[in-house]
Amino acid sequence: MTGSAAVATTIFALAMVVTLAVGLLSARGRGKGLAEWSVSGRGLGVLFVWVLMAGESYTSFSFLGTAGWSFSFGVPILYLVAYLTVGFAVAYVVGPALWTYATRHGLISIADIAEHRFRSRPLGMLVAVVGTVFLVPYVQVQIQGMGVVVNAMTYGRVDLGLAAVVSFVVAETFVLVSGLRGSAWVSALKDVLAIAAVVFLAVYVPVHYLHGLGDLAHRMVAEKPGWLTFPGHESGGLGGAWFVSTLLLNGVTITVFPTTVAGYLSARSPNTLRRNAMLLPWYQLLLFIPMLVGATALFVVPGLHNPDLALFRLVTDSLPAPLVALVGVAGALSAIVPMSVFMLAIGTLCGRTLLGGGNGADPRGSSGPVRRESAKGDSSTGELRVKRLSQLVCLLAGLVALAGSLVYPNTLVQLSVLSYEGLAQVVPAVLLALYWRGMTAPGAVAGMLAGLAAMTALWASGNDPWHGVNGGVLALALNLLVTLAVSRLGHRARRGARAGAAAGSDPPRPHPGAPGPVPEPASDSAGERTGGGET
Amino acid sequence: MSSRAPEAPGTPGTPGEHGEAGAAPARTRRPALWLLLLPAAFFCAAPLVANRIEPRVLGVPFLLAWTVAATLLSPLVIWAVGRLDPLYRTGAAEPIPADRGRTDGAVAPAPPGRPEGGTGPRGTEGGAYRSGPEGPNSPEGGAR
Repeated sequence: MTGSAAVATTIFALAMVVTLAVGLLSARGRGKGLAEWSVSGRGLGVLFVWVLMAGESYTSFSFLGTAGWSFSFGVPILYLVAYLTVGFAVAYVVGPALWTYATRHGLISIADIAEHRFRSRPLGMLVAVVGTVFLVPYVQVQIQGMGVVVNAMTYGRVDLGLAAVVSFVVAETFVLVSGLRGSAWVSALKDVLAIAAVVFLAVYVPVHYLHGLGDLAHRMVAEKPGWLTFPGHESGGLGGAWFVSTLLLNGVTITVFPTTVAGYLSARSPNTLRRNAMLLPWYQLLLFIPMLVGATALFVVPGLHNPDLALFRLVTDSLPAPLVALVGVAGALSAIVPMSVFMLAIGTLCGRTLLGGGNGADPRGSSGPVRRESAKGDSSTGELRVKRLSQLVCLLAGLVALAGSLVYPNTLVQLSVLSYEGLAQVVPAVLLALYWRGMTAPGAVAGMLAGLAAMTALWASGNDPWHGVNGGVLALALNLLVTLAVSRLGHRARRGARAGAAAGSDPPRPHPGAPGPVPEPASDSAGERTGGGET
Repeated sequence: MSSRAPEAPGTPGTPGEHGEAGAAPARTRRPALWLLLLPAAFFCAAPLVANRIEPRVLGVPFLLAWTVAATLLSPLVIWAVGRLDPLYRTGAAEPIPADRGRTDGAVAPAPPGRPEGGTGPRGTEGGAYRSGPEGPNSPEGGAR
């Protein structure tokens, strides 16, 4: 086996060098500004946005977890395809909407959007913190996933820790230098490899181990029927209610995921995003293949100790070393590309809103150089400073995740299970607020905190899923109720104050939290008008 | 399900006299957007009406076949929505209710010391905001 290991290790090392080169060269001749780094200068066309966002959605989980869930539980894994597809339907509207708002006002992240919408930097900071808390574990999941993939593809020669460090160094280097454009180019390399590898596996694995796909279906029905209907095999409550609630929650939440939004904002025009909403769902068909392979593993290695290795176990068992390496490199890049975008998104979230003094939309904010990107996209000193801060956060977030993967491999990963539920709680403040003008900053903050508290309580008390329903959905419902109630109370208090002042009598005290998220009087009355009619 | 609200085409009927300058007027009707609920409906129906192994479709167990079919139909639905959407055909920006009332210059507040208020750097928008050859209420929107 040492010969195979040497071949596979060499191919892996070469692939990492090529990845670094592609990533580093991609930004040659491009601007040095913040918007170029964070959102590729808003200049990517349909092809690159497709490549980038496809790369983000096909992570190392697709190679490891998808096959693993299929092996362990069966049909509950279909939620992955379901929510990604639903997410693209939602994205047909949400992508261009976030793009339009962000481009019009020169914004680069969801925290930036929230800050500008409510003219409130504290609200933007809250969104940035929530986003960071739920994204860092995701980076760690990718680093650890890379470790598992590389360890498997080199027949155990490269150990988990070394693979983790390599993935971190490669991803961090090109994303620090080239920003989102680097991720997009590496993603192109990755998509070609991943499509080739996965399509090959779809044909080869069932034929090699069984008598083709028909035989696989036959044996599943005959021997493993429990895997083929909800709630799956010993899945611990992953039934129909969980499937429906999770696909709805995740389908909406993925459209405000900071990494998805980075993809949206990098687009050249709204139609780039609308076209991508039509094209990207086709890519999700590839996700069925690791599921097939996981199901095949049920008959080949029924006693597999670590289900996540279902796919790579079959690959190393049945293929020659160069092909193993090819599949392994596809899997490794499937960790590196999302990892780089996750780290970049964290940097972008924190760099301007948290550390850089905000975008200047908050009238209470400190004075200073205008930090919004200028119309021409050239780089002023203030903008460069914000870019440096963003890169610093990008590096620190990666280091935290790397340390976590080396020291506490299980702790942070627990959190990543909650990523979607947690980020769902920013949906009202970031997305709904663009449609409902009556939402106030106190309402958005109160709702978000209530939602996060409810979600954490359900999870910590072991009640998620609660009677089969995804806890994040319940938390989001509470979030929306609180947002609505507090926003309405704020309007009423302000209206009362105005009426009192007009009558010349003693004005009732306005709600202490009420002083305007929306300072301008015209908007204020507009808020009342829609606040009465909408919702 | 309230979390799906952002997806609803809320533009028709909401009061919005001030169209955004250069953008497609906010009152453009886009009834086709309701079709975007179909993919969610397909998948949500899976555990309710398709949670069984038989009948098998080309040998594939029914639940799996249903999910594959939903995955194939969804992009076609989204494509059809684009074909029916007047904003897609004109390449117009998405209407943002939160921007309404802020975009006409009289209202936009200029925070002290800032050169630009709520209006934002409109120069960056480039060709994306061109209004298309067809009128805002072009009948093809819902007719096809």
